[in-house]
Amino acid sequence: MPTKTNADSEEARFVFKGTVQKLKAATMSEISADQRTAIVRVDEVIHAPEVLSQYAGQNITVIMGGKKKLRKGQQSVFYSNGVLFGDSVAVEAVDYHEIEKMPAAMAAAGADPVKNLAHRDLQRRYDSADVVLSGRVVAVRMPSDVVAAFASSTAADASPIGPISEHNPDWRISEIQVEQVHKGSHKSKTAEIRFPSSTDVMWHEAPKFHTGQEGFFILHKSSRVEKAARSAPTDAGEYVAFDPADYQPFDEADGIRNLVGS
Amino acid sequence: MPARKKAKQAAAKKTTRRPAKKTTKKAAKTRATTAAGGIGQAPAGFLLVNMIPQSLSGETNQDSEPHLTVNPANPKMIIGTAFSPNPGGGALGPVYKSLDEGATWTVNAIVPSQAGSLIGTGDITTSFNRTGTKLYGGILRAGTGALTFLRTNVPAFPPMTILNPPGRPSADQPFTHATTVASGAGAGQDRVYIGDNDFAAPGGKTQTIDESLNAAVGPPTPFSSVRVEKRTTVGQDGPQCRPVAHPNGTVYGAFYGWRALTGSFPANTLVITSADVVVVRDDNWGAGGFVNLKEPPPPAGDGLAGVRVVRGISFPFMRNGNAATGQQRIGGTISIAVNPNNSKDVFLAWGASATGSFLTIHVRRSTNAGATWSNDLLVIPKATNAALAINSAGVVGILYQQVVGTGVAQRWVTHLQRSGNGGVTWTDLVLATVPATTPVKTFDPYIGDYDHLVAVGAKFYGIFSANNTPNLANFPNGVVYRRNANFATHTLLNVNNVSPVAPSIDPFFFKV
Repeated sequence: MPTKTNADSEEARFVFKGTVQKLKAATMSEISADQRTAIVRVDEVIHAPEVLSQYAGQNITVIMGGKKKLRKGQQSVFYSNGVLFGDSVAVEAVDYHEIEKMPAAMAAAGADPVKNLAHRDLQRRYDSADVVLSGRVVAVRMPSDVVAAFASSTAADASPIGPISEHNPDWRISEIQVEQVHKGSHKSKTAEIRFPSSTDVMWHEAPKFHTGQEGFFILHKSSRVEKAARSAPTDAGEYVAFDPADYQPFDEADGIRNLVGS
Repeated sequence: MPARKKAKQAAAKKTTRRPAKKTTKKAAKTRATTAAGGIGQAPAGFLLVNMIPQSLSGETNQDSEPHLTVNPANPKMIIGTAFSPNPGGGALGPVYKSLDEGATWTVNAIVPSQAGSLIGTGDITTSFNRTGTKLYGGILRAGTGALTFLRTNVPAFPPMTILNPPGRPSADQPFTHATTVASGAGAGQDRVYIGDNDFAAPGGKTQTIDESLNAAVGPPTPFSSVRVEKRTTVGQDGPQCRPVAHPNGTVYGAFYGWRALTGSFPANTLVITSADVVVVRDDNWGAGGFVNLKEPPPPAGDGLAGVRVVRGISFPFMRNGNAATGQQRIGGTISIAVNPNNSKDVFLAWGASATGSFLTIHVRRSTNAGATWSNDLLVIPKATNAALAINSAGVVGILYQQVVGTGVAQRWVTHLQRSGNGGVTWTDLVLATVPATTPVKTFDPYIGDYDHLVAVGAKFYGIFSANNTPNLANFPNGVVYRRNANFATHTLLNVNNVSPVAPSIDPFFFKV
């Protein structure tokens, strides 16, 4: 019978059905084989980041985190995170259970484990959002602090008004013409979203908005996001977007449309 | 075809190596006579390795900005770092670990990070202590960007402990150097120096060495912020601060003091129009505040702590790399190394703009503990990521990456130059010459704002990031790949050894 997963299991990034091949053993010499380790064949990958998505059929090392005991030949669903990657892979299992007890949502997951994981991440982002809107970007502008920095730097005796760092987020504010509110409360026909335009390593994954862009916007209030509020105490924009999942285009085949029910 | 023969052929495809040529007395003599400006052949014992392990053959990350530390008590144990995400996506970022002196590598998730982070960590550098019992690190933590100091036990390498919880905001580019007091006062204590640019420093004098003189204790671990900039700045200094310690307790630091600028960082037009390259020194493990090296009083100097080796240099401080710079953002480069046999013998490298060169590396030497400096011993145009080290024989090495050519013919060429006569003549070893236009960058920096070189005993160990196309022409002295690759077709292959994988930026390890 399907069950709910616990909190640790929900954090696991590599979820797979597997069969225990050998107890107190490991596929990597760097792992000390003991009662916590087992060689497990990956039978089916359910959730996975890209680099682990093709591991079906391969033996890997599973390090057990809890007190539960495995037995040889046991088939289970393992909730794990990768810890060591060499000629083989070792994962730490935060939980496992019989295949029959797999949660219904997971049992119904699609065939692509990378998409499944992305969908789970999107679901979480959606759940934590203050507001989810659909609409169109009608303008992108600089916040007042960035404008001031520009004005300062064009003066003959330029001096920075704040830290110049290669990791500056270089915030912008996009103005959204709201078409529909799918979650939360937003009464205005427009919404302002602060986002980092920087392509620096610290910010490159954030969505970069441009005029004319249409889609779903999964938004958190700026006042709740410390790094946004700290970077720009004034003119912060009502919302902030810096997670790659915070923007979903209209032509996304499923995922967000399933969540908003349209 | 018999299965065994087939497997043997497949193995040959995925791991291709051109062995280093054996050194003969005749060959060594030839190199010596052609050292000045000549291209050196790889000596015996040279090894260049793509650090991505076989199990991650499908990865296409931009693994840039690498750093390296070698366990002084056991040089077979090496830790590398880069902008690499946790392949498994968990809440810890990865380090690259080798236990066989760099021949093979594993990716081990032990760095505090954020689950699902696509970068694993922001800036990261690590260092073993001298006794090889601890690994220390300084990072900008993924998710928060907080300056965070780390420690873990060796050889178990459990997840790293945060020594300054919850970290510190508004600082940049932590650069970690650790050692252990061998004898005398404080014997056995770990000394850790993390150079950084701390925007919270008072008066815009942001250059800082965060130091712990007993880093193995805690947390709370005693760290103090030593403000090493003593002069007026333009509001801040540059991001690079490079500390290095000699076993006798002499600790040096090198940084750019920013004095004037023009243009706009957001518009990618910022130019540092006047900067000093400053060297500071402390003769008692940093306990004295890095004020032992002072300029003479006016008019010869200004009497302040920290000798300005050069003054008034200029260079761009770029938000984004562009075609002219091989996609790499440019913002200066600094490195300092001290001779392990003589704490007064110091080499310094820095970058400054010159006509036709976005950044030119200069190398100078001081034989009196930084008081005075030589003229340029090396001048390398259109280059960045200078990293110096001096081995036990007094040979100085410099690793750097240089842009050559333009348009589709443009390449990043990574060099190791070494000199056994104090920088009079140099032997050049080309480690890699790879296309600079592919892959297209996914973020800045393209290859990283630094790479690294260390010396343990007589050997040099280094790390750099570059295009990973499996083509022996790109690695003129040979290379070893552990990830699946077909050198005949110049194609990377996924874990199934069949599906092609797009080229990306990988970290490469070398030793010589």
